[in-house]
Amino acid sequence: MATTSAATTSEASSLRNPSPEPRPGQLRVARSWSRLESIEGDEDPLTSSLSRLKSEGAGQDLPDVSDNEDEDEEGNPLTAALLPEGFDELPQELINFADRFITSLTKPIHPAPLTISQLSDMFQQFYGAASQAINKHVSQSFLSISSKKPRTKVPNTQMLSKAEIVQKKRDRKMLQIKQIALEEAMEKRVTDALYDKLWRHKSTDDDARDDSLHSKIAALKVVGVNLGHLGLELESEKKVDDVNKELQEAVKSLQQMNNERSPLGKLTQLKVAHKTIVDCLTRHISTTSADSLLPTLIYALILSPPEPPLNAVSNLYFTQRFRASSFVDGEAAYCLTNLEAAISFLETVDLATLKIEETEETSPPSSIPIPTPQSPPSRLFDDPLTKPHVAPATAITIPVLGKNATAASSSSSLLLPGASTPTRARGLSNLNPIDFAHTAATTAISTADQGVRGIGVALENSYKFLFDRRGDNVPKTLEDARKLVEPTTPIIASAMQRQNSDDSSERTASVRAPSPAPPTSPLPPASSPMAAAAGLAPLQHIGHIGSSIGRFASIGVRGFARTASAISTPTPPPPERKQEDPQIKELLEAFPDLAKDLPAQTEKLQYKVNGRFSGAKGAGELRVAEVQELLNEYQALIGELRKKGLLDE
Amino acid sequence: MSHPRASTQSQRFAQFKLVLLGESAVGKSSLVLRFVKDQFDDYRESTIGAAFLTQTIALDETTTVKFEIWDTAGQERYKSLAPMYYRNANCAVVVYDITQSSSLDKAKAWVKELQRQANENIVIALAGNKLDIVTGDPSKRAVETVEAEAYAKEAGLLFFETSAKTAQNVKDLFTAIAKKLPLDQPGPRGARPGAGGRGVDLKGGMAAQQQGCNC
Repeated sequence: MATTSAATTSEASSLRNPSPEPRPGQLRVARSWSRLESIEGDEDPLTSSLSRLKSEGAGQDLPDVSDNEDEDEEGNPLTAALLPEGFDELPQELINFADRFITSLTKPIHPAPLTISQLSDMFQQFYGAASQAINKHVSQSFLSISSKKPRTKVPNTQMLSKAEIVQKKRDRKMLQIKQIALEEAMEKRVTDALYDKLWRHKSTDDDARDDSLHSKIAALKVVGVNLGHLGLELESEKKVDDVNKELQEAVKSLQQMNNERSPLGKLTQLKVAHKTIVDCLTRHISTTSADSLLPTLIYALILSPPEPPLNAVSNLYFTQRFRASSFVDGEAAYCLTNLEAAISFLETVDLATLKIEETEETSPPSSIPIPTPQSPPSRLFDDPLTKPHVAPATAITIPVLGKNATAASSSSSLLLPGASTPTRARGLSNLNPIDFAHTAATTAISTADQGVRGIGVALENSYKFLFDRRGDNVPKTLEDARKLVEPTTPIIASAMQRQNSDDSSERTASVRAPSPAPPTSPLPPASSPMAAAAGLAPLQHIGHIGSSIGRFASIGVRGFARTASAISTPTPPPPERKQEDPQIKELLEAFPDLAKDLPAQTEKLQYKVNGRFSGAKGAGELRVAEVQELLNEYQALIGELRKKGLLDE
Repeated sequence: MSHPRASTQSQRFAQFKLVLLGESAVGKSSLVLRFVKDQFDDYRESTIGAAFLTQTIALDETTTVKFEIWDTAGQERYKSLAPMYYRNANCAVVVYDITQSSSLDKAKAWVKELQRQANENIVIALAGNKLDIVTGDPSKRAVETVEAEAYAKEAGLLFFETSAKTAQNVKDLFTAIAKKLPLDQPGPRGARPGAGGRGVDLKGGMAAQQQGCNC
């Protein structure tokens, strides 16, 4: 498991629960009654925060949640609008309290740089302490106010008049509102002051995950993912248009999360996005259950334009880490979980999951073996132990509309000569490796840092590409992949060994399965070069992930390029495809300048490495050090392929 | 039905997270909507629709249980996301369709996963939905009651055949869950179990509960 993200998640989940070790069945106070939300309907964070009032009351001394506590005696809803100006202004003593905390974090008093989880804990502790300080302050100011009121001179007996009871109730209510308003102000003050350090804190990989997500979104856009692929059918094209239009509002809210510098602000925008989606669903689909809500949220994320960047991962985790945990009510927790799930889905999704291939059934056979609809779902998705969010690096393998976009998409038209949607075809060829890559990312290089993980994905990805060439038994699952590398099913291994025993390694043995490809193989060898070329796009994006892994990424890309072209050699492209050769060239030419990144020993195949990896039970056995060997082997393969002259420029 | 007012000083109030699992077409959201909408008069849909609902039921005059109901997407492609939703859940309703035997297999898989991965003391209820269809046409039944019941017993689940359409057994299902949940911790102002129990022997139920779930 990728320790960092797993830790992040568990930390995040614990933040959502008031108690650090939430126990099943533990009696918890009500925190999720949110009637005010339906009244407010606006985006005022303070008003929305007041929705907590009800739950606080229910938890403390008003157990009957049916008690209509969110209105005052005149039936007016308690909203921020009714509160006096400056109601949530922090008094000096509390400002000092907050600033002491801020200063303590900015001073270099810590022996080691704080991790994000330590920071989050410190903030949560601060919120607890602040709450007490505020409570003290509010009680004092309340006493001083009420002592001036004449009614307090009357002994507190049972004989209070109706008006006095009302007044008392209102005072108490105001007290609670004041408490919440000040707590919110405190949270805002400390998070705002440190926002630039807390958001995408340097101990996290939030930014890399966001980059990955952005490219994955771009790829899914190219593939043409629609709500149907996500499990939500719309009745008509018109509805599709309407939904697309209406969801733009939700997209805006999600983007607005970037502009909010407080956890509450971000959370409020997330809720608004959910509300927009629910309204849209109510209009067009009539059901707002999770069966519709989650797909639509995912779809909204896919609809988000590249600019301004969504940064959904960073915004989600910032909110989870720095929102006072006691303030996250049920609905907020659900919204956060939904976003987390949507992100996780996008990070790990492959075309088999989306059943994109089903939409291609009427198209002419693709040059890339597409997982058949009958094929079992990825084992990863069957194994609940495999948390989807531990695979932040998977999206690295996803194509992005980069500089070679034109070339790639034009080549895609070759992949599906008769397909009506060439862009989708390109996406198919590009995304195909993902299902293998994401399993690799979840299990393979668990101890590696982001960069090494990236290269691991790149390598695995290209192996997947090799498997693809075989035209059958594409390893869709980790289990499949294991079978492929295990000696007992030595399809690849034996091919490699064959090559090993034969010094004239010109042949591309590794890509030829000993068993003949099944007759149903949808892979016309003729189109392989184009398929390979198109397959390069995903890896190229690795370079975008971060400068730290750029070097690895380029190696991966280059290797991929050569492998890809070598594969095509056995069968020369038929004449009608030759005209597209410049397109391949254009793609492949994108990489030669990366040659300097390669170590020298690329002239030979490293069969020692090959044996080791073929004996591995699974990608999970790989160590970081072995990634280098895997890389070496890979590079060796590249060298052979280059000898072939297939990359001739 | 009406809610008891918080007029007495002794109130039990407990809140639980309930997660809904099951295939898309088995009617799990209808089941919950029936529970929150029709059985009670104070239903108000949350801002995020039917995916997240809350409902409060009174077990007796002094005991109130609030369910925070988390719906999950039932499509197979979202299966791997379920752990995010059921983490920290106190109870789960796993729904299948009694006219589709395959849906029971899915439900069993969910139960297995919950028992392996969810909170240790999670209360799981198995609900065979669409009872109304079978009542109208017994030949439509694909899962025999005894079969599902035997499985539920073996797996330690609460079991009901329900109809979201006619509301049959819907309230019973959630009430049974509420009763099985550990309410043994005192409420905000102490508890007075069993006081003025209205058809529910809370005292007995609680005692039994304490033995099982005193985590």
